[in-house]
Amino acid sequence: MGRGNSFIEGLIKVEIKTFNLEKFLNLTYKNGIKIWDIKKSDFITTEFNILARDYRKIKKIAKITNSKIKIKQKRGLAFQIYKLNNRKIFIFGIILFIITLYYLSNIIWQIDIKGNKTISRERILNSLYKNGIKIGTKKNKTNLREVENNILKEIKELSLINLSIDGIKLNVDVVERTMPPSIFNSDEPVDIVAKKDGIITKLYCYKGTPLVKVGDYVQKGQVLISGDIIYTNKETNKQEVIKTVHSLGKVYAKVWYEVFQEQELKLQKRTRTGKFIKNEYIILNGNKIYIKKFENNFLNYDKIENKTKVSILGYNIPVDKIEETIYEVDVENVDYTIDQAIKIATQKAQEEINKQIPKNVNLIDKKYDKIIEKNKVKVRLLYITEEEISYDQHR
Amino acid sequence: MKRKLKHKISESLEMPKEVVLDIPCIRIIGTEEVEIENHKGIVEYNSNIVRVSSNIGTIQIKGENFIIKEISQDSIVLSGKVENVKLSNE
Repeated sequence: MGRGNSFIEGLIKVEIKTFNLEKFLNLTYKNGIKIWDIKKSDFITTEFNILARDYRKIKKIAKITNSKIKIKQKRGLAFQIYKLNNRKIFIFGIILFIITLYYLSNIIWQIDIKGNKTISRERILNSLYKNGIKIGTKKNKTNLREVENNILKEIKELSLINLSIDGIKLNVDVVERTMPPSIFNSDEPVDIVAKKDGIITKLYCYKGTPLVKVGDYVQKGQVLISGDIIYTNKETNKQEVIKTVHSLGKVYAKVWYEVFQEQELKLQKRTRTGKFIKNEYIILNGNKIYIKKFENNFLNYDKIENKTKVSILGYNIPVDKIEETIYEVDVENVDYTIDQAIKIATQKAQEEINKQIPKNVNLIDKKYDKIIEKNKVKVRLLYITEEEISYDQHR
Repeated sequence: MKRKLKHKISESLEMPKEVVLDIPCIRIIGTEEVEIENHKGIVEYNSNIVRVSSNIGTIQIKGENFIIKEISQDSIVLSGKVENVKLSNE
C-alpha cells in the first residue's frame, strides 16, 4: 500500500495511547487515510505508520476518540531536505570547497625542467614566461604546442622541447642541440695585445703586422701584433693601411713576480678572548642616542662599527644606525729571533706569490733576498716565468 | 428471495460471489497471513485475537503476534501466527 513512494513523500511512525483503538482504526480507513503496520505493544499503546501529509487528519481523529498521539520517528526525503535546509551554511561550505579545489587544481603550481645541461633553468623559465606560462597560470588557457614552437624559435640551442601537464605540474622535457663551433670571422679586425708587463722571448706572427721585436720590454695593454696591414711606400716613405685583418699569433715573454714581506722582531700579538658586547645607537644632529648600551670593562679591545641607514616602511630617512661590537682582546708581547722572523716572512711571501702566479707557466728563475735591520727583517722574493702574454682584442 | 436470485445470477454469469453477494472473502496464507475482503470494520484488535465484522457475522481470528499490515475500505491484511479462524453467524 503505497510503500514504494512513501519514502519520497515522507512517512511517520506514530505511537497512540487509547482505550478505543478499534474505533480509531475504523475512522481512519473510512476517511481514506493510508495506515499500515499496526502493532499493539501493550494494553493501551499501539504503533503504526502513516504518510506525513495525513498526520493532521490523524490528529483530528485522535481528538474524537480521546487518544494521545506522539511521533516516534520521521523518515523520508522530505524530512531529509528539511534537515539539510537547516544546515545551509554547511552545504554551502562543501560546495565552496569543491569549487575552490576544482579551481586550484586548474592552475599550474610547479614547473619541472628535465634534460637541460648547458642551458640554465632560468632561461627556459624566462622564455616560458614570455609565452604566458608561469606558476599560477591556468592550464586550459595555454596552447602547449604553440608555446613549444615559440620556445624552439627563441632558444636556438634546443632541438626538442616537450611540454606536458601532469595534474598541477608542468613537465618540460628538453633535448639540447650540440652547437657548431663559433665561426672564426677572419674579416673582423683584431689586434693582439699584451696581458702583462714583460720582456718578449718568442714571437710567432701568422697574420698581421708585428709592432714589437724579441727582447722588447712591453707594458700591459700594449699592441703586439696589429691587425692593420701597412704598406710603406719606399719613394715617399709614407705609410698607409691597405686592409685590416684578424691578426693571428702567439707572444711569449719573461714576466716578473715580486713580493716584499716584513716581519718585526718585537710585536704585540692580539688574540680575541671570545667575549664581546654589542651596542646600538643612532646619530641625530651629531648626538649619539643609544638604543642598547653595555658598559665596556675590557682592558684591551677591538671595536668594529657597522653603519646602516634607517628605513621606516621602506623609506630611507637621513638617520644612521650604528651597531658597535667590542671584542675583548688579550695582548701578548712576543720576541722573535732573527731566524724565526725570517722564516715567518718567507712563508708569508711564498703564499702571496703563489696567489699571483698563474698555473701552467714555465718557471725560469727564483731570487730570494733578505735584509736584516735593527728591529725588523725584510724578505724579497722574485720569480721569473715565461708565459704567453698575448690575447685577442676586438676593435 | 433476493439473495437466491443474486446467487443464481452470479453462478450463471461466473462472476465472483463476494462481489455480487457482498459477503467477505477470506484468504489464509499458511499460518502467517490472513486477508479479509469486504469487511465492515474492526470490532476488536489485540496481539492474540482479532475480530472483524462482516455481512455474515463476526470473523474471529486467534493466534499470536498479530500485526495489521494494511487496512483500507475493502480489505484487512493481518500477519502473525494464525491458529484458528472462526465464522460465527449471530
